[in-house]
Amino acid sequence: MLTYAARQFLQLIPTVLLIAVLAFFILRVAPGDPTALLLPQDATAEDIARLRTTLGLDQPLVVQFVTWFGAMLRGDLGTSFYTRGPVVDVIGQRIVPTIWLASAAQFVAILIAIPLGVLAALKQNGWFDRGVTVVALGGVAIPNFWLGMLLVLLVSVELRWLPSQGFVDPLVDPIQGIRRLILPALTLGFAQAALITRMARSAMLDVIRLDYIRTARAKGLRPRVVVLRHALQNAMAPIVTVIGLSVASLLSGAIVTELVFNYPGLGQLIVEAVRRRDFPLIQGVLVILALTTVLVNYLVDLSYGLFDPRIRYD
Amino acid sequence: MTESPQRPRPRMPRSVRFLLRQPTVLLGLLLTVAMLAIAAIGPEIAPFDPLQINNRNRLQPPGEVHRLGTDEFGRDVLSRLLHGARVSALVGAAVLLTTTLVGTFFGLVGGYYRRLDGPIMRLMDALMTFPAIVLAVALIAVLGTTVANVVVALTIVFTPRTARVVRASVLGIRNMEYIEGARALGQRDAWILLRHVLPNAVSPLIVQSTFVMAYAILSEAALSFIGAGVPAPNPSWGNMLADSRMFMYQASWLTVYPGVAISLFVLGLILLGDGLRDVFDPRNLT
Repeated sequence: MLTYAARQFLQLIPTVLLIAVLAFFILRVAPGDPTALLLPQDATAEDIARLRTTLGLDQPLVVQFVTWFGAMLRGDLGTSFYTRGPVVDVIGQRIVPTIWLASAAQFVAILIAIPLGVLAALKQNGWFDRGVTVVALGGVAIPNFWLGMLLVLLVSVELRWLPSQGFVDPLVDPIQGIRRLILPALTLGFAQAALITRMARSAMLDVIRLDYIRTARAKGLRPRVVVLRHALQNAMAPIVTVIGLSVASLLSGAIVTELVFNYPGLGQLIVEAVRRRDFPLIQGVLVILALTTVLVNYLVDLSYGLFDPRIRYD
Repeated sequence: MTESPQRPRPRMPRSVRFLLRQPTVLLGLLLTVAMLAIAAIGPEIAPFDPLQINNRNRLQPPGEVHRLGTDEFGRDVLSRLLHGARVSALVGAAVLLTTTLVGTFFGLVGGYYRRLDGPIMRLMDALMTFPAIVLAVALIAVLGTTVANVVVALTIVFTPRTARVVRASVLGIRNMEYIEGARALGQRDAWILLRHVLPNAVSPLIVQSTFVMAYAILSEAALSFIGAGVPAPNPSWGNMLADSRMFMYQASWLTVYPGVAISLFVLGLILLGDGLRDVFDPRNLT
C-alpha cells in the first residue's frame, strides 16, 4: 500500500510542473503592464524601471519562471503586488473560510445525494425516480449564485431565520459559525448533490442487475442488507470517483457563491486580485486551487481499496 | 382491377422516432428552440431601448407598461432580458463552435498519433485541474473584459473535455482493419482522420457540444455576475443579476427574471443533450 501510494505520488510531479507552467505563463504572455496600476499616474519612466527591477519584471520570462517555481517548492509563492506581503500569508488567511464552505457543501451534498440516488435506482422509472431526475437536472441548470440570492430573499429577508452575510469560524463560535454557513453550503451543495445523485443512481443500476445481487436476494437476505452491504458498497467506487473529479467544479462554485454571501474566502480574494492585476496573487490562488484538486484526486485514487476488496496495492 | 403497387411510405429514421417519444427530450428541444428564437428576434420585438435611462421611472414593479418592471435606472427589464438572450446565445454558440473545433483537433491528433497522445493529454489534464471559473477569470483579467475574450477564455476552459471525448472514440477504432487498409492504400493522414476516423466520433461529439453550450451559458452568466463578463451597460443575464444585488430587497423582480431565463435555457440544452445521448446509445434502439 505504501509503495503504491509513493509511486502514485511520484506520478503527480509532471502534472504539478505543468500546472505551474500554465499558471505562470497564462498571466505573463498577454499585454498589459502591472506597474501602470501600482504607480501614480505621473510616475516617471525611471520610477517604472525601478519598480520593474524590484519586482523582477525586467528579467527574461524563463528566468522569472525558474525563480518563481524554485521559491514555490520552498513554500514561497512570491510577494503580492498590492499588499506587498507574502502571497502565502494572504491566501492562508482566506483559504480557511473557503475550506469550511467547500467541505460543508460537499457534506450536505453527499448526505442528500447518496440516499436519493440509491432509492431512485431501486424504484427505477417510478414517480420517485422521475422526480429525483427532474430535481437533479434542475440542480445542474440553475446557476448557484442565483439560487443563493433566492435563498437570501426567502430565508434571511422574508423569514428572518438565518443571517445572509459574512463568516464566523465555527471553531471559535460554533453556533454563529454554523448559522452563517448553512445558506452558502446549501447553495453550493445543491449543484454538487445533483451531480452525485445522478452518478449514485446509475452506479446502483449497474450493480443491482448483477447475478450476485439476485443470489443474495434469493438466499433470503433482508432487502436492507442486500442494498447496503452488497449493492451500495460495490457502487461506491464510481461514486467516489465522481466526487473526486467534481472538486474543481466545487471550488469554481465556491468562488461565485462567496460573492453572493459576502463571504471572505478565496473567491473574493481572486476578484480583488484580478481588479488590481496582482499577478503573483492570481498565480498563487490558481496554483493552490489546482494542487488541491490534484491532491483530492490522489486521495480518491488511494481510497478505492476501502470499497473494493479485490483491489490490492502491492 | 390491378392494384397499383403501393410505395412504402417514407419512414422517419428510427432514432428520430425514439427521440420524439421521450417527453423530456421534446421539452428540451422546445425550450432550446424557443430560447434561440428569442435570441434571434428578441431585440427586434423589445418594447423599449434596453439602455434608455429614465430616472423618474426607477424600480417600477411589473405592470401595464413595463411588463417585467424597471431597474434602478428606470430601464425596461423585459427589453434588457430580450437583448441579454442574444448575448447568451451568441456566447454559447461561439464557445460551442470554437471548443468543438479545437477539441476535435487535439482529440484526433492525440488519439491517432501515439507519440503526441501523452503530451497533449497531460496538458489537457493539467488545464482541467484549474477550477473553470477561476481560470476563466484569470484569463479575462489578462486579455481584457470583452465578449470576445469571454469566448476565448471559455474555449480554453472547455476544450480539454471535448478533446477527451473525441480521443476516446479515436482510440476505439485506431487499429481497425479499415483504417489500416486506408493507410496501406497510401491515403494521407489528414484524409484518413477526417474521412474515416472523425465520423465515428460524431455522436459523442454532438452530445458533448450540447453540454458545452449549456455550461458556456452558465459560465458567461457567472463571469458577468463577477464582473469579468459582458461589460456594462450592455445587458446580459449575469450582469443584470449582479446589478440587482443592491436592490433585491425592494425590487425582487430584478433578481427573479434573469435567473429564470438562464435556468430555462440551460435546462433545455441539458435535457436535449441527455436525450441525444440515449438516442445514440445503440442499446436503446433494439
